[in-house]
Amino acid sequence: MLPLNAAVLRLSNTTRNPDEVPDDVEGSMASWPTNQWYVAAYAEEVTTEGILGRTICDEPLALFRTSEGEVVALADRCVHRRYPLSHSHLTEDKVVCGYHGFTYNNGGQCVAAPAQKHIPRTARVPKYVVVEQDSLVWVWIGEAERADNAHIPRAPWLDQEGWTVVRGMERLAARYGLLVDNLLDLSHETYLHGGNIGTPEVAETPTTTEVDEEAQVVSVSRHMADAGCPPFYARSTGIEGRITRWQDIEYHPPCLYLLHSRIAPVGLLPPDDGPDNEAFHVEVVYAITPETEHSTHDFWMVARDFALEDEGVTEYLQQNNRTVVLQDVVALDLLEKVVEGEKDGYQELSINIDTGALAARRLLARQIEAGQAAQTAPSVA
Amino acid sequence: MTVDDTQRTDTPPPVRGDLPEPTRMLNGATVYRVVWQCGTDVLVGYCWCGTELEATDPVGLWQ
Repeated sequence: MLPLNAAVLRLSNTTRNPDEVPDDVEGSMASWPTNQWYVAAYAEEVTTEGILGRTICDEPLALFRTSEGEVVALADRCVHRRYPLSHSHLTEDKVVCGYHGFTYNNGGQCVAAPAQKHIPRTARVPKYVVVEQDSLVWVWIGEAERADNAHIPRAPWLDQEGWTVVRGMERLAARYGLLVDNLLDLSHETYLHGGNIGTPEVAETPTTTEVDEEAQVVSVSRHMADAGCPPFYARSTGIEGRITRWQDIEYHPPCLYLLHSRIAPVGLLPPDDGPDNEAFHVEVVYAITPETEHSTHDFWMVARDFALEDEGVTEYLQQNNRTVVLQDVVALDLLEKVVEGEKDGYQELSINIDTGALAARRLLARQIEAGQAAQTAPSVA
Repeated sequence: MTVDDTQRTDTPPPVRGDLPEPTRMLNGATVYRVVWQCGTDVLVGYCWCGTELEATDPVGLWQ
């Protein structure tokens, strides 16, 4: 087994542009698990109108939607002279390279080239396995024949009647492991997000951490019986006074993070039977997708089961959730520089609040180990 | 938290106290559960195999 921190929080000594592939990473194993599903995009980002370019786990993808609604992900590189297909255009469900016109069908096969009578059989770009589910586009990074849709974790609130969702995506100039650490330890809310979602009780309340080895899930539960109501929830729920606040994290490594949040007037617990309809429920969802070894796509979504049609609440939550996410972006980008500048062998200190993050690192290390023998290049469909 | 690493080494073994009923989220057959005892720095780990372990260091607990 890998050392706990080595795989996820790999250290190096030089500061790099996150867009560059560092020399010491080339030829070595990636610090994320392969043979796993990752969120590549929101479904609404992938259209018939254009081609979305996005790098997932160091693999540049060109994503588009066919006229029949199928999402397609091809390697973002023309076989001819390497031109990015994401800078090309769609014609009748085919990608026409913007440089010399090599034309690919939605299987990645080149079907036309300028003035060419015979198209070489090798003229095809790799196609990735993708699944559209819960308003997310998932891509399989690893051996295509091992992809199993049944293993994609669910977030049904994102695309379900009775819920209203705000969402966004920010790019972190930081490795994905730092975002995992951040989200598994919500005590940082008190300090980094004080005045928004943090109150003293978050940092003061002990947690229960659970790990399901077989299902590969980490849970961190923090139930605050009597807590201050942060402005964030006071404004959106209308609750005045103190609250009973539950935060139940469910992390499905490597990519999907769920925070089941329950807010109610202090002392109001769920009924023994029947719906918990006097409380307010917020389902916070993050997709943590590595872009490169030093950058991450931070997809954030917040679904609520109250004030469903209230545009004012929607706008407030959209703006304020983004404010909170950007506070994390600033902090994690800063942390990335610190980590990259560290001398070899630097050791961090972990305390009780880190129990969940350590559990997540442990599962990630095992997933990385399991994927190490796998080929990262996709099979051609 | 004001205890540094050096002091941690000198910390006597934790004394088991009454624990609140831990919140249970996961119901699988192989669930590890770590409960942070209220008002202390004590973590109590429960293995799905039935063994229990107390610690004040989460790194050691997971190992």
